This record gives sequence, structure tokens and C-alpha cells, in this order.
Amino acid sequence: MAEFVPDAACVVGIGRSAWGKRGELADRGTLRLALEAIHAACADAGLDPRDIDGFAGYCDDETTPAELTVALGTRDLRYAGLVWGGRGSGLPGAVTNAYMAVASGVADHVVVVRSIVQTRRLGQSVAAGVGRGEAIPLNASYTVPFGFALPAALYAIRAQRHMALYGTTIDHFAEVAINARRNAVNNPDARFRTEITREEHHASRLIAEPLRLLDCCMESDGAAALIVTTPERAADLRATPVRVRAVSTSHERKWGIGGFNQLGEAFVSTGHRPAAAELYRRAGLGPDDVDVALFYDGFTPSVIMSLEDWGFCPIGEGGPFVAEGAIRREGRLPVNTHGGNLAEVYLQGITHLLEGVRQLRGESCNQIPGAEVALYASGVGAAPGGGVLLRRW
Amino acid sequence: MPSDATAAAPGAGAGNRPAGLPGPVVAPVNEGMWRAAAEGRLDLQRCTACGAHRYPPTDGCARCASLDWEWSTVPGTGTVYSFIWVPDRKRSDETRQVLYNVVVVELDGTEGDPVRIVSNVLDAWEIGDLHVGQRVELACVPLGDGIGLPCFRRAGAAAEAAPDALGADAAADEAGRAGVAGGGATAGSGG
Repeated sequence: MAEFVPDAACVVGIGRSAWGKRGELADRGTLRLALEAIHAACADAGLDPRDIDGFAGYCDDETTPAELTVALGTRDLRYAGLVWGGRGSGLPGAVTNAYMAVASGVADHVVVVRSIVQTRRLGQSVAAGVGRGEAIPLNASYTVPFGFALPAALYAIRAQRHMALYGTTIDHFAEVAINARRNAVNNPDARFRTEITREEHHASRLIAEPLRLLDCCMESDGAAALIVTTPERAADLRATPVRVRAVSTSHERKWGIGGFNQLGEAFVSTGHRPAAAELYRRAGLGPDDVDVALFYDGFTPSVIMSLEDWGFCPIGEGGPFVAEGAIRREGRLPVNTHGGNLAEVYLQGITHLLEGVRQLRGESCNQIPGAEVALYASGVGAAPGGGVLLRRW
Repeated sequence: MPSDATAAAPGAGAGNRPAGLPGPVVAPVNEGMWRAAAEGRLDLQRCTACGAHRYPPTDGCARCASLDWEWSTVPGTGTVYSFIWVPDRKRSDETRQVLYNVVVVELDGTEGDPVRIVSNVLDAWEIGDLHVGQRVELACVPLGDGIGLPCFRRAGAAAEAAPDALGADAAADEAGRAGVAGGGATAGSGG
């Protein structure tokens, strides 16, 4: 197999639109939100928006390059790619697409963008997205008729087995939520800036036992974007670039639709253990080199499983790891220093990458002193999920 | 329509099933299974080239990549691999919250990688009625139009007693027997 070429792309600009709760920005629409985010990212980079020549999207984003190019005044469209489905897990795939496009010379400035208006609720059951009398998708026939439809359920059923196998407790899940809220207090852009207690977590309403309301992110409207180019071009642009050291989207075998036939104990993981091994190998770095971890946290068990999958503790010890305060910003491995999906905003992971860039520029609201390497890891989802390693310029 | 039939099923004494959910789509890759469930059997796709069972239904074999398959009846017993409890708003009111369960069952008597199925345990009503490792057996729910859903019920009291409720020394014999019974079924799945 050909050698992966590390450090072949940089993030030179980050931006976001206004954001708000589910449906709040429906009048503006996804195109407007995406444009706001891309303009902000271009301003950050010192780049004329008309010089964007590639688009990388994920999660079946509604905003199409056909609309974007007209409204942005794109001079030349050289690349456009979308990662299929996968809920929020497709972000590393979109970054991979942008990375390949600029590293190969296919395009010069590729924007990775996610825009969401949740008029059709992602967080509601798949069944609820289907009108009366409409058939559900064929692949949903093996889950929805049994009531296995909420995104929370995908995590809850893994969390339950994790508890049975390893003794993980709901106190451990609570600590993940507490950490997210605590970090968001210092983030002026965060939607949920009040701290919560373990008691409040336990008392919040049951969503899918063992998960409660405060184990879940809140659906949001908004958009965010980041601009990817080559290190050579990055040196000429305004913002301090951040290197994309490596990307990986390898996935567990048999991790597909339905997602309950994983081999061994991969069921109680995010599905990204092969991606972790490949990412570290490609980067020539390991878990000990990571200064800040940005884990997809649509639901709290995702963080505990990610700690294990990405090698920060042995399999099964994610619970005790968080219990000792290790993921707090003063701890061994600061996690989601912006507040994550749970407390900042739920834009399916892309704002985690923005925080990674801020950390490596030294601009985070919860800056980790001397941060050199940041890891983004996607959550439970069908392939391709995986990770992105960012490195200071 | 299947969805109406599903909604009606709980009231018709089908046990603990979520209310008001749509029925499955019937397609060539799954029709045999829904029809078998209406007759009280669990039929899975089995690769005609290598013999591996698979679920959920799909067109190719993950073990040997063959596109040829046939229906194969499996015993319908299995072990709870994991589970959740979800509030059922349609069956709850201010005074009473009704929960339904969703289980992942690892099935006995299959060839190849373990085969798991998402389903409901019809006679489990409360948190505490289910645990990982619990034995269950097929209990199908008819939906009308000749199709049904493969659901489960908790296996007989003797098997049930083995993991949880065993007195310290007294039931060593019984534990032995339960172990043999469970082991026999598991051996069948190794294939």
C-alpha cells in the first residue's frame, strides 16, 4: 500500500454563522447559514470567497455546491464531494476529501462545511420523520418497528452493555456532561453556559435507560466552515495556519446499517478502533502526544468509549478515567474545551474542529498552555467515521 | 396496513410492545422472515455457498461475498446481548409512565459470526426485568396480511434462575444443568 503523506494540508480559516435552537433559524435557510459561515472563514483566512474552488460536505448536507457557487461568485469549481449519511460520523471523511483535493493539486482552497436547519428533526425517531401512510426506509425495517429509532438509543444500548461488562456507572456519564457545561461557562458562543450537578443529571428525565436528558445534546440550527489548503499557500494567508497532520476513516468490519453485529466487543465502542490505529501510524504520533481531545459528544457514552477507542485508557476503563477528573481542562487529557455538542452547539462535530484550530493557535476560551496536537474523533455511526489529527504550525 | 396492525397489537394482548410504530417494509430480502414470523418461526438468510447466517437481511455474504442465499429456520432461542428501556408516551399518562424495551439478542444455532437481532421482550415490563446474558425464546407478534414480527419472551423459570437468583451452594447441580443446556445451545452457534 502507498505511504500516507502527512502534513499535506492546513486549516487556514474558521468561521460560523449565527446559531440557535432547533428550527429557530428556519427562515434563514441552510444556504444563508452556510454562506455566513464560509464568509466568516474567508475573512479569518484573508481569502476572497470567490477563490474557494472546492466544497466538502457530510451527513447528506442540504446545501449543494450548485447553490453555493452562484451565491459565492466562485470563479472556478474544481472539486465537490459529499460523504454519505452516517449522521455526524462523516466529518473525518469530509476533511479527508478536502485533504486529498488540495494535496493532489485538484483544488486550491476547499471549504469543509456543515449547515443544519432542523425542521425535520434529526433527533426524533426515524419513524417520526415519515409521514402518515409513507413507508419507512427498507433498512429501518429491522429497528423502527421495534421502537429502536432514537439516536439516543444507539448510544444507550452500547452504554448498557458497557455497564454490564466493565462496571461503568451513570455517575461516569454524568461527569462527561458536567465537564462539557463547565467548559462552556467560559465560551461566550455556547448555548448552555450554566454548570450542572450530578444530582441534576440523575434527576433529568429518562430518554432511553440508562440515558437521561442531560446525557443528550440539544438539536441546533446553524453552520460552520473551515478552509483547507496546502502548507505553501497557507504561508501567504493571514491567519496562523494549523497543520492537518493526518486523517483516517478506517472502520470496524460489519459496522453498517443497524449496527448491532460488530465483532468481538466492538459493539461497545464508537467503531473507530481501526481508524485510531491507522491515524496514529500515519501521523507518527500516539495518544501520549495529544494535548487536547475533541470527541463527538452527541451523547455522553460517546466520550467514554472514545477515550478507550483512541488509546487514552485500556478498554473498559473510560468510566474510572473520567471519574478521576482526567478529562477536565486541568486534567491529563482536556476534552471538549469549548463545551462540545452537549453544551456549545450541536452542529455534528464541525465546531469541535474549529476548537481544535483555536487551541493550536492559542485562541481558545479555555486555552491549554502549550497545546501542540489536537485530536478530533467522530461518534458512533456507519462508515466512514474516524479521526483527524491537527498540529500546531 | 402493517402500521395499523402494529399499533393495534399491544391492546390485543401482544405483550409489551411500543405503540403506534410503523410496520416493516416487505421486500425480497426480508419477506420470508416476516412470513415465517407470522407462523411462529424465525427464518434467517443463509448463504448457499458457505452456509453463514446473517441478519439484518442484505444481498451479499460478509464471509464469502456470494450473492446466493436461502431461508433457514433457526431455533429462536438466544441471549440478551444488551437492552434499553424507553418511555412510551402513547401508553403513558400523568399517573403512570409505561416503558417499552428494545433488546439485542444473540441467536443460538447460527453458522459463522454471531448473529444478533433487534427486538422486544414481550413479558418484560419494568427496569430490572432484563439483564445482559438473560435467556430468551421466540414469541412472534402477528401483524396481519400474513406477516409478523419476531419478538421474544423470557425463557423458562429454570434457565432464568441460573445467572441471578441462585442460592450459594444449594443449587450447584442446577447450575450445572443450566450450564449444559446453555452450552449446548451455544455450541450449536459455533458451527
